[in-house]
Amino acid sequence: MATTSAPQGVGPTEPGLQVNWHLTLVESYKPDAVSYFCDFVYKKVDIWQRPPYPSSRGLKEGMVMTYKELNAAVMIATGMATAAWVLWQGRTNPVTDLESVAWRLLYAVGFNIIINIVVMIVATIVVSIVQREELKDERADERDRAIADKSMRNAYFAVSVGGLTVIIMLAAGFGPIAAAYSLFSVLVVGGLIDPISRLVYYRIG
Amino acid sequence: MGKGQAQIDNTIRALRFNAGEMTQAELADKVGVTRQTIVAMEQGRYSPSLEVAFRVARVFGVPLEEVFQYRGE
Repeated sequence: MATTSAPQGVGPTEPGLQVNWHLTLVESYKPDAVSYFCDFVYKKVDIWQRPPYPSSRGLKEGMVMTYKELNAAVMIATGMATAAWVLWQGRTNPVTDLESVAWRLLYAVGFNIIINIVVMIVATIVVSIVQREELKDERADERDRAIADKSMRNAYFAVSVGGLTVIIMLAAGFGPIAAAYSLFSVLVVGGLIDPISRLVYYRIG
Repeated sequence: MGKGQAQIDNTIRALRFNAGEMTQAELADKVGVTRQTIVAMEQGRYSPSLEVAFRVARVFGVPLEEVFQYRGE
């Protein structure tokens, strides 16, 4: 913006006319692409320091995602990614001894924990920018606790049935490697049912 | 949430309007729940506990029956 005095030799030199010179420059200011970009970056970077900036209240209720819903969605995505990685490893690089299988599944659990943290951080930043409001976890109230309890119950039921199925598999003569993979699958399914249930209860009721 | 959720009506939206267009966030703060819980209650997707129901009524200074109405059998 032209807020400094006119450079020497440019424009009128008389003090009274210099004011008009400034006004002319201000009025003729047209934001170019660079200005738009700078303004865009400024708004994105400064988003949390400027409460008057339009918030997520401008979005429709169903479009606003809470921290707990995002956490559930990220858990679903990372859980599925982990399961896909184990499947892909099983197909491309099959191992035959139980110890190697167990190590692979342990790596998968570690992989799941790490990508869950990373994706959650990235997703929190992205959703905060999209919703124009810092996404923070609120203290759980009675509805959150009720939803967590019901979701946990659903996951517990799935894991119980799955665990029983693995024992039946072993009794039926399946090998320990198949049992290990089945046990891992049961944990993955249980780990997916919990966040899926939470999302359903939060969104549908 | 729950099978009996549709049995209870509420007038929270109207009461908020009468209370100077109180926002859901303000009501949530006063009641001590999240804004999402207020949204779910207003939409009839969640029936609150008796304690929260009393707190909502107290915020508006009206009897419980004026906020929540049971229309089940």
